[in-house]
Amino acid sequence: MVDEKQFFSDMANILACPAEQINAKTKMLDLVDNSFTLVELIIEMQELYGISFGQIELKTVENVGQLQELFNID
Amino acid sequence: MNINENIRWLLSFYRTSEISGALFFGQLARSMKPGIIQHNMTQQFADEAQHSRYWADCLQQLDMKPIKLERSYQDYYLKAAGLPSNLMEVLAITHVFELRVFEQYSHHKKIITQPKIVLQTLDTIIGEEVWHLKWVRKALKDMEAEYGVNEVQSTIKRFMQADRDAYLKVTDEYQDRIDSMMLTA
Repeated sequence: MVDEKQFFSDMANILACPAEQINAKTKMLDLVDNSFTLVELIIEMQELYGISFGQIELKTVENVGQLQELFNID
Repeated sequence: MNINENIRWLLSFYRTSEISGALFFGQLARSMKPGIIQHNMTQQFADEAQHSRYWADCLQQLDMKPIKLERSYQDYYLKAAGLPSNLMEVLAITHVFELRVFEQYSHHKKIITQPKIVLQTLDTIIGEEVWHLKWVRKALKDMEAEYGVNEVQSTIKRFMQADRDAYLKVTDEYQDRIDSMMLTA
């Protein structure tokens, strides 16, 4: 089972940024410099966790905490 | 409006759209892990870049300078469709976009009187577009096992609706130009 710390660390690896920069309240748009980086991040995270969701579910995600919920991370 | 000015505008629009297509698919290719889909997507964005060069060459041969256009069809389309969030959506958006390109170029070919070089360029590009449609359709079919037929079909349907919305937004401007060329022919 992946915990929150591991989740933040995986995100940081993909984005090549310090893990300390990421917490549940971090806004997604503050983490990515353009919308295609967001596509890269989301696709890589889905592959890493073996989870699939689409545009419709992602529409409501504004911060990392809401993304965690999509991935079922406590 | 002057017929030559309409041709110039339209070919410039195609040129800009092909550049945007190359950038769009290039960024999508980067989001994928290595494999056959990324390989094909890489070929596709290289083709789009090449198509842009064909239109630039075509304009040059017609002794016309390209017009710098601020917006391409992709801009309208992405605004209406939103960015894809998984590999199947990437392919669905690619499929719908390629269908639109194919239809637009095929529609343009129906103009009876137009410079030979334009027809030659359209034929070259349409020939390459057929492969784009083919590989994406096959990849989407293969994904039905993972995502389910209904999910794949409903995603395509959703992006097609976005495509129609985007097309309506640009139709007024470029359809008038095509129509005027057809009336002149």
